[in-house]
Amino acid sequence: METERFDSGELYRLDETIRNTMDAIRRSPQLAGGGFGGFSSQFGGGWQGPQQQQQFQGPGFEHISDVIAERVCDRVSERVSEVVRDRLRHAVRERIVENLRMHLGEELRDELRQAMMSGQPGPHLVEQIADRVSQRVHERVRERLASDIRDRVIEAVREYTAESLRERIGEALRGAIVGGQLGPQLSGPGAEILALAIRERVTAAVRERVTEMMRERIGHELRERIGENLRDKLREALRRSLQEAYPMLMQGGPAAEMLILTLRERIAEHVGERANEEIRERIGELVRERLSQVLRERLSEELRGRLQEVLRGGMGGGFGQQFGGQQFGGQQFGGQQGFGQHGFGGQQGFGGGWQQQQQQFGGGSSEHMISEIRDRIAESLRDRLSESVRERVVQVVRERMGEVVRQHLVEAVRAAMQQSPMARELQTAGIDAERIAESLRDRIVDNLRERVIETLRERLSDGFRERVAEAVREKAGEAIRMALSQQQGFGSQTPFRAS
Amino acid sequence: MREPTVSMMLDHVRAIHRAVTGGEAPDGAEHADPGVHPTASAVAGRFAELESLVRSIPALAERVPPFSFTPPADIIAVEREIIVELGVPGADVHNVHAELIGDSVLVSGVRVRDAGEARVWLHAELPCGPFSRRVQLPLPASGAPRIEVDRGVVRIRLAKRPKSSLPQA
Repeated sequence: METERFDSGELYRLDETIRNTMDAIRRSPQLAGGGFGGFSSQFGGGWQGPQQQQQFQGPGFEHISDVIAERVCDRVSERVSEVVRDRLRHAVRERIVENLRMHLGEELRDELRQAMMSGQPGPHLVEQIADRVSQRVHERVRERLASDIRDRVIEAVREYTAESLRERIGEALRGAIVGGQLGPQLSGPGAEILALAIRERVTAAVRERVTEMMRERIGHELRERIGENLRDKLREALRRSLQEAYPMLMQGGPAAEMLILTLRERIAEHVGERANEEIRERIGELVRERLSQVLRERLSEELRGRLQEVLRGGMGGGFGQQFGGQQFGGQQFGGQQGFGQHGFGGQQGFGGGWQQQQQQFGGGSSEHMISEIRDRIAESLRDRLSESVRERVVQVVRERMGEVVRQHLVEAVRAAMQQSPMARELQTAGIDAERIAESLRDRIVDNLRERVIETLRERLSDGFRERVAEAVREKAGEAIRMALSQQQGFGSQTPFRAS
Repeated sequence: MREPTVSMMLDHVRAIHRAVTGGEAPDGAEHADPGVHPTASAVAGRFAELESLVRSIPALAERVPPFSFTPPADIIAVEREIIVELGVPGADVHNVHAELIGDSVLVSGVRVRDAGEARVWLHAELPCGPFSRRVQLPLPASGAPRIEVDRGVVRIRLAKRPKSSLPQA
């Protein structure tokens, strides 16, 4: 939903008018007692009457699950592709720079050596060198880059597909229930709890399979899309840099070697920067397309299966047993009073105390209630905990970064200078490791600190949130079950199923 | 939620109220409690609940036009263009937007109900309010979509992408 500016007075007026209209519908004798046989008969008359049994025949689950899947697929794939794009913000750039650094210097050196030996200098040679080097580097880098990025993509897809699916399926099922599309057998607040169970089962069943299918399907295309983009950008950057530096490079010697190293750094950074956005965009597109395709294949079928399972009574002892009969049908939702206070009254009926809900739905629905409590705890905990852990880690990293860099930089520069082919020249020129380290330190610390903190924020938050949610989901159900059974003095005869 | 959307939602709720009671809904502002500030999402949720409730009561649904809708669409190819036509009776060209997203075009907009005297619908089928339709294009297109509205038909014209500019495999 868009969150643009709006007049809060107007919003309040709308809210009040909605409430008044809801009340008017509830008070209306024709509507409250009419329509689909009236709300009171929908909620109050119990579920087992022969007339209503007839209505259960053939609700178009095939069509409905297709519609829900259709609605969910696009939104989930859109959301996941956005997350993937965002998660790869630094990873793509870093991988490109790292991989180019590894191969570019070597290839450039080889190609220049051959050019010098051929002894036919000229502007066309720059073009040829740029073409050949970009082609060879691209071939060497492509596989590894694609594989690194694919792992990151799949990791993000795995984490966010489940979260997004859970959210969207729940939303879509609730919409279908409220809209009465699932028929009278699946309607009302009780069915919403059942929707939660369906949502969990579908998500669990689809998640791993979707991740696997995505892994199989994006590998080749990822390589093609990344490779093509990288080659173009690399060729362009090489051509431009070589045109400037060509005369000096052809002279050979230590100066040329130094220039090659400088060019390597400059080109790697430049290509990383330029290709990053486009590659992320292409990866996002690819994820959206493929995920939507994969979800379409799996989701509809899974939803259909679960909905049919619910109708057959295969989920937790059957709908009739769970929500029907005395507990759900007669007393709580009977007549106008029941509907007004507990049904579509909103906050009170569904969002109210758990004690009240437990009374409403009886022991048979406790598993679903527990699942709902567990989810709410998981959601609230994972955000709060991940936020606090992230801030703490970031603070420690910020404090320690400068210190660690200071300690190791001088040593690293000294070692690099000793190993350099130009060690003697540098020494003669009076350039020592301390001076270089001193001048580099602040810049490196600032740069590194920002980058590391940003990456930590992203990764800690995502990974931690998932782990907390998973752990809570695993453990909280059992704990709630035990606490509830102790509180109600059920002792060893607890009605709650052990997990 | 945009302000015009809020005002359309308010009109819609008033129309429902009229259909239920035959009279005007009391002005919500009269009962305003300054200490209570409903959030946009909570109000949107309640609105959706009301709309679903109305759609589930045939006696009421047939007298209240749906709040949002998906218009029917045709896709036509001419020499240099792809034309997407959508049936939106009463649409205004200023209230229609179209966006080319990859190989599909997303058309969205609003059909504003006629303002004026308070109306009580005795039967309502013509859709009003926000609409949106994503149309998958069978041929590649490029450039900004051009929007025309002619006798209740929203026409989106898209230039066909020339073959030479197709991305190479």
